Amino acid sequence: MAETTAQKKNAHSITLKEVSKFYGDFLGVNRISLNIEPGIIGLVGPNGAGKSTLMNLIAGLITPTRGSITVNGVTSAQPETFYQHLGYCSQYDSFPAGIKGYDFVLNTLLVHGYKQKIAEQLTEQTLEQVSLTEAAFKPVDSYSKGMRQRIKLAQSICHQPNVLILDEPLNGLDPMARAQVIELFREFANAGKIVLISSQILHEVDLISDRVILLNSGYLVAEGDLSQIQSETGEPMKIFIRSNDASQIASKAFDLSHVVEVQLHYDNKGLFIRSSNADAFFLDLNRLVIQENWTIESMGAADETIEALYQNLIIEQRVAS
Amino acid sequence: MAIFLKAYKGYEGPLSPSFNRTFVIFRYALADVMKTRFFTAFFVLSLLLPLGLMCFLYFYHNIELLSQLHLSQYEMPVIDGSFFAVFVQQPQNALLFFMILVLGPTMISPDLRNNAMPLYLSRPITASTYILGKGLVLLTLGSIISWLPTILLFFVQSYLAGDGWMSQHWYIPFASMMTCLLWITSLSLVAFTVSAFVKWKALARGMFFGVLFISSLFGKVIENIFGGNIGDLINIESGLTVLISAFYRTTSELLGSIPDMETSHAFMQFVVIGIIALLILMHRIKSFQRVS
Amino acid sequence: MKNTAAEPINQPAHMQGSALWFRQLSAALRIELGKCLFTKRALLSYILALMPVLLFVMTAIGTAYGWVNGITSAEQARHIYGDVFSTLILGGVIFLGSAAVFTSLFRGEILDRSMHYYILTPVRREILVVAKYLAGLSACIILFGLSTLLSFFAMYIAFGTDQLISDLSSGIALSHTGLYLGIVLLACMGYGSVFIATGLLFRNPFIPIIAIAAWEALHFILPPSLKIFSVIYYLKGLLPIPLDEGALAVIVAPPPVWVSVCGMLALSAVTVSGSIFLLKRLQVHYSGE
Repeated sequence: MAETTAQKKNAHSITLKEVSKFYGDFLGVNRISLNIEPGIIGLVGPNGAGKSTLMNLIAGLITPTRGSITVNGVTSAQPETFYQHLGYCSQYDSFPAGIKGYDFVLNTLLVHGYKQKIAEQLTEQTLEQVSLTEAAFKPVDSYSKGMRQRIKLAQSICHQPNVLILDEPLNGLDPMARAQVIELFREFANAGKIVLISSQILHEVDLISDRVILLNSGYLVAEGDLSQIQSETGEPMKIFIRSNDASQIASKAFDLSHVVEVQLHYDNKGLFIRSSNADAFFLDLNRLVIQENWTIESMGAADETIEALYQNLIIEQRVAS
Repeated sequence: MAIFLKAYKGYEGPLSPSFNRTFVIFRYALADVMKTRFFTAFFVLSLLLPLGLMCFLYFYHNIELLSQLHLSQYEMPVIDGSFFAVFVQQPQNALLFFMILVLGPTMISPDLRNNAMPLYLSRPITASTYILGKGLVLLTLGSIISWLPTILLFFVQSYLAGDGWMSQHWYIPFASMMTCLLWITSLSLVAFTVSAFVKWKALARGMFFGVLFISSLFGKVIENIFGGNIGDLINIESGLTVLISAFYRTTSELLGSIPDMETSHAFMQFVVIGIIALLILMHRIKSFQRVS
Repeated sequence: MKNTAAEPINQPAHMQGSALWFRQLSAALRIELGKCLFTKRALLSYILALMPVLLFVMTAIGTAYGWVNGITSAEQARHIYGDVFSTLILGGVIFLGSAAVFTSLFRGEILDRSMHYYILTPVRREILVVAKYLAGLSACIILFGLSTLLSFFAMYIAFGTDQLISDLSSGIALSHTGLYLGIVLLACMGYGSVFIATGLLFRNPFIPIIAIAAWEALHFILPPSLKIFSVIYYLKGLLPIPLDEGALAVIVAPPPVWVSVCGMLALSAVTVSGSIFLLKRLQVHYSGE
């Protein structure tokens, strides 16, 4: 118990309290309150939802019109402490004119205050992490989109931050590099760090995120782990069942009042069920399985994905409005 | 084989003539310029000068009104080449300079910054079409605020003065047109050349101003040290004063000290500056035609 | 790609306080000095710095071949140098050069959209501004100081090394070059501090630069109470060859040397403090740049 308290005390966190950002009359984000804890957190929302604004606010590049933001209890007004353990890979695809990849990372570390030798050692290590050792001494201007993305990533992780904010970090990366970068994020998260990632590629966010934050038109739409959000949406839950008795299950399922839709798979060995009360459905299913002696091979929620959430919370709301 | 049926086939129809494409660039560049409220305000305000001068000409020839105001034509400046050079041409030069300073760098720098140059040149548009299209904007707007109103003023004055004033001062429209066109063309080319190397229009404006400021200062220093008119050849302002004095047939003190330079040298100064600027500009723009 | 995020890199214990500040300051200073001297951006400053050298090499050649009338002695040449220094070097080269170097320290990075890399480092904003200011100052002093020295000595080409050695040993050449270099230093300090703030304060610093240029050019007709707000007022008293301000000038006795030096130091302190204030409030979103 004592260990857990100590762990909690040392845990990293990003706290936003009633944060709003307006650019004149234009709304960036409005009244966002969040407490982000270690793990990989996916920041999802359509274009113009306020994802980059939120990331820039957390990174201290812009200041909120209202509200407050702290990272590990410190605000960006104290840059010496604030940025020591924060890394930000921004959306801006621009670099100091004429700089080489190696110097780009090295200069960052030198300005951080690292000694020359240690900075050089860290630079080499980081460039190796992002597979840019060979291109290190070429000008960044000559890099491909993927290489530029990787050098930006290297610059944001070179000082081993505990809080890593990444705005569309997978853009321009080939499938192999994507997998490796995702693995790198996973290792950061496993080390107890916060990795906040925004991306438009929903299935990738789905694959890597422990939790998600959904934004739409500057407002926070949902936050938490996927199943929790899904159950809170009140939308009928879609459940996939694989069984040799699929057609019998389908016929019995229609008798249950909370089942709103049943789809039988073409091979008659699987079915999708949509239920407005998932808990009641699972209880009823258990009862029926024992009663009818059915064999269930596998079963799970079919719409615990960000795409489904996105569909439910953003697209359908837009259509409705 | 369906894929081959859908294969890309280039357009084989007739193309519009080359000069038409110049006007496409001109039209869009002009629309961009007229979008800015600041320029529209400046443009309207700059037309107040000929309007004011037209009112002045009307009062000048209205003997009744003058006598009511206890004034006479003899107390006012004589309307001749000197009047047009000092009260029309000189303020117009300043207006043109300001217009080119504001607009010149905005013509090419944004295309450079947004990587639009290769897109322009990948179409059937050549470097010269591009420069001509952009240049025509400054030439058109510059003409509207400078020599075109001067010609109008000239006809108003001729009508009001009568008695062969027009035949005695026939050189004024020619002087105005020549001076303004030389000033607009050379300044525009220098502004374009500077801005073709700088992505940011603020920086391009600064560099354009710096080039003229430092060349004028350098010219004056050389003139002080070496004497003669070597310094004047570097200073574009000296050339302009010489041309105004020659074209308007005036040595009015209000023009300031007129440099001791041949008119042909002053004319050549503008031509040489224009050609050098144009060569550098063409070289720079053509470099975007290469695929890198 | 090697994934070693979980393995802690041998991260050094960070220094604290002044030792860390000094290391950060020297790192930022070195990086910025490199940008001021060895990038494409520096080309304009090099061209400006070369102009007086070229002019005096031409003058010396002209004098030697008799193309330039009126320069018959080294003393006359020094007078001409004095005139050129106060007009071309001080009013043109140093003013425009400082404007180009110092304005681009912050505005250039904002235009290049690379300002956020500095903002995201754990550096006190005071250190960042001071480092950039010192880098700009060092670059200007190196370029324009060297230009002043080279053009001064180029003047002696026409009079031979004997004349140069004689003037150096008599102290006149050394005192003149010392004063000119001092003026270069103070001018770069004064103009530089104003332009670094201008680059942070204005999205388009071009108009304020023209306004400052006009103010400095017209300082001679300003009433004494306004003259104290121009940089040139503090510098003209240091000129070894007094500046001829023309018939229209409102003549005021130049300030003593200590006032000139303290005035420029005070101006630098105030404007650099202002720049720190502006940087702390800077919002990096690059929209409309």
